[in-house]
Amino acid sequence: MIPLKPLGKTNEQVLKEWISNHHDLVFRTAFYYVKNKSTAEDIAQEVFVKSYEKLDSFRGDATPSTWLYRITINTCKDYLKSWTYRKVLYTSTFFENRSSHSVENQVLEQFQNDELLQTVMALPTKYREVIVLYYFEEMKTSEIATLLQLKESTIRVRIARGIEKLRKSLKGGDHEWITLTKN
Amino acid sequence: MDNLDQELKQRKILVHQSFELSEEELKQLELRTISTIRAHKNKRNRSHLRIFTFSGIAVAILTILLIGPRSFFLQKDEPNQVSTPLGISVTQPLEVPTSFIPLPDIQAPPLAWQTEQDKLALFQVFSIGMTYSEAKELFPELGELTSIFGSDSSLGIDLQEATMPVSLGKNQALLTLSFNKGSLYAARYQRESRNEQEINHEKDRLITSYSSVFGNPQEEQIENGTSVTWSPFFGLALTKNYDGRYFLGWGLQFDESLDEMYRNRIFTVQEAIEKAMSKNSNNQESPAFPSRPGDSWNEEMNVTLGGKQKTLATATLRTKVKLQATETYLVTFEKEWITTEKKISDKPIKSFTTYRVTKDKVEMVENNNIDEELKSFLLRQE
Repeated sequence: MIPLKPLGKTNEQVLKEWISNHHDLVFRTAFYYVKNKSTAEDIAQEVFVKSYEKLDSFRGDATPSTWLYRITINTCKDYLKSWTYRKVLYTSTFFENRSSHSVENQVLEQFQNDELLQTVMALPTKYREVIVLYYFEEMKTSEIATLLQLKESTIRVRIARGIEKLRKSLKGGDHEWITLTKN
Repeated sequence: MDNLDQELKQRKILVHQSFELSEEELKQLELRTISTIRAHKNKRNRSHLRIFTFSGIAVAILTILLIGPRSFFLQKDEPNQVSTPLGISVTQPLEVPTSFIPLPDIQAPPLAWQTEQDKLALFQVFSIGMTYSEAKELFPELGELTSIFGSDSSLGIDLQEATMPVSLGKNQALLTLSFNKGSLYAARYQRESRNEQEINHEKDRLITSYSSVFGNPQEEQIENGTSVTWSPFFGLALTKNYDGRYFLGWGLQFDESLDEMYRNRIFTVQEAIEKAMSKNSNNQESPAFPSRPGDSWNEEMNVTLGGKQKTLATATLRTKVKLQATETYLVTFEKEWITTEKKISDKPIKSFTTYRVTKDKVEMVENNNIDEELKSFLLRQE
């Protein structure tokens, strides 16, 4: 066995490892919020750049995945509040009938026409984010509470209400598409 | 509710599969991210450069205005000397700027920590006797050093640990590095699971993997679980907690008393150090190094200049050990030098020699003893 002489692992090496191991969770989480593949890709890139620039402040008390979730969610929320997004939102709503790649179509394509997943993605953000983190990212309510900086009781209530909304939607009672709903 | 709950849980795999990037897409993401980071850095550097340039020009102008005119009145020419416009006497030899003479330093190859196999081979990365700052330099994501007794420091500030999560395949394990008086004595992984089948499968897989390096282990029943050891230095244990959680822990650990207990049965760490030490003292006139990994001594590099003794640098001496294979160790005798003049170097300079030691043989595998080179360099600065 050839002995290896360790040299300082550079921040760039750490970053490459994180991209390799966590690109999917960052991309997925971004899509949950922005529901557009190319925007999610751009956000994923931004998240890794930010994580590199803040690497020195990364503490070992959180796992890299938790830290990346946090940066991704904050970046997505900043994007959703930004003027760029609102311009796209108004444009796509206005030209919805002509657009072949509207938000809803993106979701349909991404989830292979699964009705339940489409309905989840149509929920208002505050219910969608807790449902996806709980069911698809398999986080505990306490972890979601820490991540979103909310009380655990609030998370449980939002999950319950989200499920209720899903049930109504699947029965055909509620068609609030997110593009026209205030987040 | 249960039905919808189940339906959502079942969708997890579909969701995850929908977002897998192809290798090409992953590569592109990596390239774009690194390009963006480098572009940010260049932008900052250009901005700094502009500031320095303008500052430099301002200082130069001030210097010329304030000092330039005076130099014509103060300078006296020697009759036999030709002086240049800048006032440099050509009868004296020009001194080579010492900044052009490089400080002796050793470049090591990069750390391999990409694949699961790399990470499982933690015995190739961590030496008993290494310091927290060395480990932190290898792994910037390593957590802070904390007392293993939490906030109650009266119980022993000497025992500390630092952790970091490590991805091993599809699982995550926690790597804990344990330090006694600032020196590493253990590096261990831990995973927990409630799935008995899964964790036992993982245990068997690890045993197979490590057995290919260390040979067949010894197994023994312990309270609440099983333990396997390849030596007093490397082992694995699976235990079940009262709340149903399984804990799988494995890695390397140096315990002096345990090492002593095994002395007559196998070739131990201490024996390896003793053999390497007697070889080291034959090869060079160096002072003895600590005989135990974890201990450290100090040494000064002193010279006599103009009848006065001066300390050029001080070193911390350490003995470090890595496990290479069954009863095969890499023993390193290391000096970490700090120069007295911080402007020469504010980083420690390492000088070391490494031996591969087995029961029958001691061979030097790396000689990076740069003590004399460093001394020459520092003397030239005086």
